[in-house]
Amino acid sequence: MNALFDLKYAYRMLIKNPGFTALTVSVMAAGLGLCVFMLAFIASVMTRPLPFDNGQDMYIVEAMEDGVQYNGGSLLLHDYEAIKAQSDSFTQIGAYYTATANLSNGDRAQRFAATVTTANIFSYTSTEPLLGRTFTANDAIEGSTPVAVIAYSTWQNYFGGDANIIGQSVKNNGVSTQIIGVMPQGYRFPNMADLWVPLQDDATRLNRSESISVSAFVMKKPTRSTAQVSEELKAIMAEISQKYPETNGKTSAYIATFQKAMMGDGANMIVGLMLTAVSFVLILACVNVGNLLLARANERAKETAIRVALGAPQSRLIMQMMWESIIICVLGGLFGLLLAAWALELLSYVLPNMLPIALPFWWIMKLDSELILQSIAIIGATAFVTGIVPAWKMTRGDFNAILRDGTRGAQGKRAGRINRLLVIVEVALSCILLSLSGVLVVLLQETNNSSYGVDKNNKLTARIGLSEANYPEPHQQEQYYQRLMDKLRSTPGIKGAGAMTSLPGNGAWYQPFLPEGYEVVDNQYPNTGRVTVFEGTMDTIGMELLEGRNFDSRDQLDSLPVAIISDQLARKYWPNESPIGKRFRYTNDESNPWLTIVGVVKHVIHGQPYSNMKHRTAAYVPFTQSHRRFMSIVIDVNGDADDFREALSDAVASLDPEVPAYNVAPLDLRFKRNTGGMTFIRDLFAVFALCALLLASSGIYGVLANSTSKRTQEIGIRRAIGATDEEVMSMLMKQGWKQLAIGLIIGLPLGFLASQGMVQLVGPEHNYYYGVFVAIPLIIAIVVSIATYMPAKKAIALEPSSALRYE
Amino acid sequence: MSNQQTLIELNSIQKVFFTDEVETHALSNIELSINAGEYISISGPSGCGKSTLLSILGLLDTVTNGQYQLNGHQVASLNATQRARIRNKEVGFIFQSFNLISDLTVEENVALPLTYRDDFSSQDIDKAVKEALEKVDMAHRANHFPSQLSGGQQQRVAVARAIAGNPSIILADEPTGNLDSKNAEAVMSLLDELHREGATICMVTHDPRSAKRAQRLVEILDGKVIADNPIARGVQAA
Repeated sequence: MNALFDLKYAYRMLIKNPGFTALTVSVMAAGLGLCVFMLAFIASVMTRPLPFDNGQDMYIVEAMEDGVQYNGGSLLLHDYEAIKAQSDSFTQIGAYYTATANLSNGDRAQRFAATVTTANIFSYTSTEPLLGRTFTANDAIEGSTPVAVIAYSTWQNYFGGDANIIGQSVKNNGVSTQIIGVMPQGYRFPNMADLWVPLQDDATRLNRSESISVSAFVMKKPTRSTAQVSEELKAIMAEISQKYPETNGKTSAYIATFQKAMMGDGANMIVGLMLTAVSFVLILACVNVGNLLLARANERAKETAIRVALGAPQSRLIMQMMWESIIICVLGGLFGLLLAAWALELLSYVLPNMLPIALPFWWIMKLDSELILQSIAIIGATAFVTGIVPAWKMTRGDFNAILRDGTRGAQGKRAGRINRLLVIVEVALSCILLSLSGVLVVLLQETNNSSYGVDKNNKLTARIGLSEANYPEPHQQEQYYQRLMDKLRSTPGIKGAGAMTSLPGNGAWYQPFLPEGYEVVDNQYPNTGRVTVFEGTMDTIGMELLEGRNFDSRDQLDSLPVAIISDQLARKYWPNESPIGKRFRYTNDESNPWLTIVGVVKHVIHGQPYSNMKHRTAAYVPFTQSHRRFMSIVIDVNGDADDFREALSDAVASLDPEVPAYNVAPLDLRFKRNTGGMTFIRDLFAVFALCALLLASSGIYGVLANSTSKRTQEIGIRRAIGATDEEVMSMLMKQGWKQLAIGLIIGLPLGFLASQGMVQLVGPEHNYYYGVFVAIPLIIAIVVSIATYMPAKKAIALEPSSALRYE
Repeated sequence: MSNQQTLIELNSIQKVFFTDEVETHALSNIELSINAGEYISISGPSGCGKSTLLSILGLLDTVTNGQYQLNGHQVASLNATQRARIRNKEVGFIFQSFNLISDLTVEENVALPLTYRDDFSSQDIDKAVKEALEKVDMAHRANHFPSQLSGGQQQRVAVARAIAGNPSIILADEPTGNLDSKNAEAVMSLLDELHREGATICMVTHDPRSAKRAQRLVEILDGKVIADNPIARGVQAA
C-alpha cells in the first residue's frame, strides 16, 4: 500500500513534468540502449558459448609463429597428431581445414566453402543430421568412396531441397561425390561451412614437408584452465620445434575460443575499449539524470521537510526519490532495449557487406534471455546510481528553516561542490571518449590511405580454383591460366590481366626460409611469405620494380629457379648490397630448390594494413616454376571495374563451365573491406563520442545553468554594489574554465593512455593522431564556454533589483 | 487520554546553534510540562526562541542539553529514525503556511502521515481520512488539489492531517498567520472544538487574541520562559 502510494505519486510527478521526463528517459534510453547494444554485439562475436552441448569447453588450437597468432588452418597435421597423442587436456580432439568446393551437377557449377574434417566433428558438436548419416571411420580411409555431408542451405539452394538427395552423386572439384547427409538448418560449424568432406590425409604416410595445415577443434576438460592447456601446448610444440627446426622453426600453438581466434589477438583490447567507452556513456547518462534529479530534490526540499515533519521514515524518503529514478530508468531501459534490438537488426544487414570475410554462424545479433537479465540488472544499477545521491540529499537539510520560511534556501557549499564535481567528471569522461574516437578516425584515415604497394584503381579481381581431378598435371594448370590470360587480355576494355596466389591485402603463405649464408640461431628459421605469380601480373597490378627484372619467358620449369623479393626483405637480409643474384630456399621441404633473386619490388602489404601484418616480407616465384590450382586473377580495365564483372565471368566460363569465378570484387573494395572491421569500430566509437559530447554538453549546461540560477541573488548583490556586467561575466566564465581545466587535466592523459592500445594495434607510420589531443580540448572548451556563457548571460540580463528579489 | 496526566516534560532544555565560530543560545534552561488535554499557547517577540521550542517539542530538532519526555518516552537522545516514528504517532503539526503537498489531493495529503505507519491498513487509512475530513468539514473537497482551495480551506485540511492519526499532541505554529480574520476565526474555532473533544494543543502565536483562547500562556524572551500562567476562562470564551 505504502509503496503503491509513493509509486503513484512519483508517476504523477513525472507526468506533471513531461519535458523533464522526456529528457531524462531519452538520456537513459540512449545510455542504456548503447550499453545493451554493445553487450549484445560482444556476446554475439566473443563471449556467448557456442550453441552446442558443453559449448563453454569448445576451443580451437592454432599455430603461433614468432608470437603472431594465426587462425584458419595453421597447424601442421603432424603437429596436430603429436598434440592428440601427448596432450592430457582434452576429452575430444579433431582436425579440419577449410577448402573450396566447386560443385557441379552437369548443369551448373557453383563454389562452396567446404570443411575437410575428421569424422568426429558431428559428435563433437553433438548434432545429428536432418537426413541421412554423418561420417564413419571408413569414410576417412584413403581410397574409399568420396562422400559429403551438406548444410541445410546448400541442400535448399543448390539441390532445391530435393527430398531424395541422400545417395545422389555430385561432382566436387571434378570428383564424383556421394551426398550421405544433410545437417539441420543453421548448422555451419566450424565457421560458415556449406559442406563437409572427410579428412583422408594421414600423417603417418606423409613427410612433414608434405603435411597439410589444419586447425584442431578440442573439448577442454572442465578441470583444466586455458592457462594450463597453453603451457602444455607450448611444451609439446617446443619439443617438436627442436626436433624439426626446418618446418617448425618458431612455431608454437595456442588455445582460444572459436570466437576469439576468429577475432584475432587484438580482440580483447578492442572489446575492453568498447566496454570502457560504453560504460563512460552510461556513466555520463547517469550523471546527467542524477544531476537533474538532484536539482529536483533541491526544488522539492519543502515537500521533503513536510514529510519529515509528518514523521516519514528515512527509508520512505529515500524510496520516494528512488521511485522516480526507477521509473525513469525502467522506461529508459525499455526504450533502450527497443533501440538496441533495432540497431542489432540493422547491423545484421549492414555487417556482411562491411567485412572482408563471411560471417561465422555464431554471429547472431539478437537479445537473448541472458542479455535481457543483464539489462535488467544494469537498469537496476542505473536506477540506484542515479537515484541514490538525490535521495540522500533529500534526507539532508535544514527542514526547520524550510518549514518556517517556506524558501528553498541558497545553494550550500556542499551542493556547489557536487555541481563542480559533476562538471569535472563530465569534461573528463567526454574528453577520454572523444580522444579515443578522434584517434581512431585519424588512424583509420591514415590506414585507408596507406598504399598497399600496388595501383588499386580500375582493377577487378576474382578467385579461380581448378579441380585436382580435371587438372592434375602442372602443364594442364599452366595451360588453363595461360588461355585465361590470353582470353582476358584480348577482351575489349581490358588493358591487362594477371594471376597470383595471394592478392595484395590477402595473407601470403608464410614459410620458414634460409637466405644463403645466413646463420640460424637455435634452429629458429625466419619466415617470409611465398606468392606464386603469373607472368605479366606485376605490371598489371602496378607493383613497382626497383631492381632487376620481372618474370618472363626465360623462367621455365627446367630453367634456373628464380624469385623476386620485396625491398623490405632485401633490406633485412642483404643490407647495403644488391640482392640480385643472391639465393635463398624455403626449408619446409628438403626438395625445395635454392631460388636465385632476379628482381626487387617495392613492398606490398599482404594482409591487413596494421602493424602486425603490414611489414611482413614476401617473395614471389613464377607460376611456371611453382604451379598452383587456386589463383586470384586480376584485370586492369578502362573505366569502372564493376562494369567488367560479366566479361570476367564469361571469359572464365567459356574455358570450362565447371570452373566458376568466385569472390568477384574490385580491388579497391577489397582494400576497403580489409579495414571494414576497424571502420566499424571507428563508427561505433564515433557514435559513443557523439553521445558523450551531447550528454556532456547538455549535462554541463544543466549543471552550470542550475548553479548560476542559484547565484542570481548573489549576482544581484554584486551588481548592486558596483560590479560591471563584464566583471560578473568574467567571474562566472573563469569558474567554468577552472572546472574545464581540471577535467581536461584528468581526461587528456587518460584518453592518451586509452588510445595507445589502438595505436599499437594499427601501428601508424606518422604521429598525426597527436593533433587529436589538441583538437578535442578545443572542442570541449568551446562547449563548456557556451554552456557557461548562456546561463551567465541570462542572469546578467535580469535587472539588479529583480535579481535581489529572485527566489 | 486522561486529563492531568503529564504528556510533555522538559527539564533544563538548552539549544545552542553553532555557526562558524559563533554560538547562539536559542533556548536556555527551559522547564515546561504540558498535561494531556491541555491547550497552551506560547508567545513572545520574533527571535525569542518560540519556534525553536516548538521544533524541539515536535522532535524536528534535538536539544543541546536537558531532558525531554514525551508521553512516557525519553526522546532527547533518540536517533532520527526513532524520532520520526514517535513524531508520526504522537505529534500532529499545523503550520502557518499550511505546508500541504501541492501534488497530492486533499485526501492524499491527509492520508500521508498514516501511510508511514505500520499499524494502519488501507481500510483504516480510508476511514481515518474520512473522519478527519468530516470533522473539518472538508470531505466534499477530498479529491481537490491544494491549489484549488482557499487559504482557510487549506488550513482546515492541514488540521485534518494533524488529527487523522489521533496524535497525543497537536503543535500549531502560527496557525492563523497567513489567514484573513474570518478564516482565522474558523480555524481557531476548530482548534477550540478539538480541545473540547480532548485534544492536547500547543500553539505558538504572535496574536494576543489567539493566544488567549488557550488555557495557559507561556511567554518566552531571549530563549527563556519568563511567564507561565493560566488564562481566565472568560477570556477563552470570547
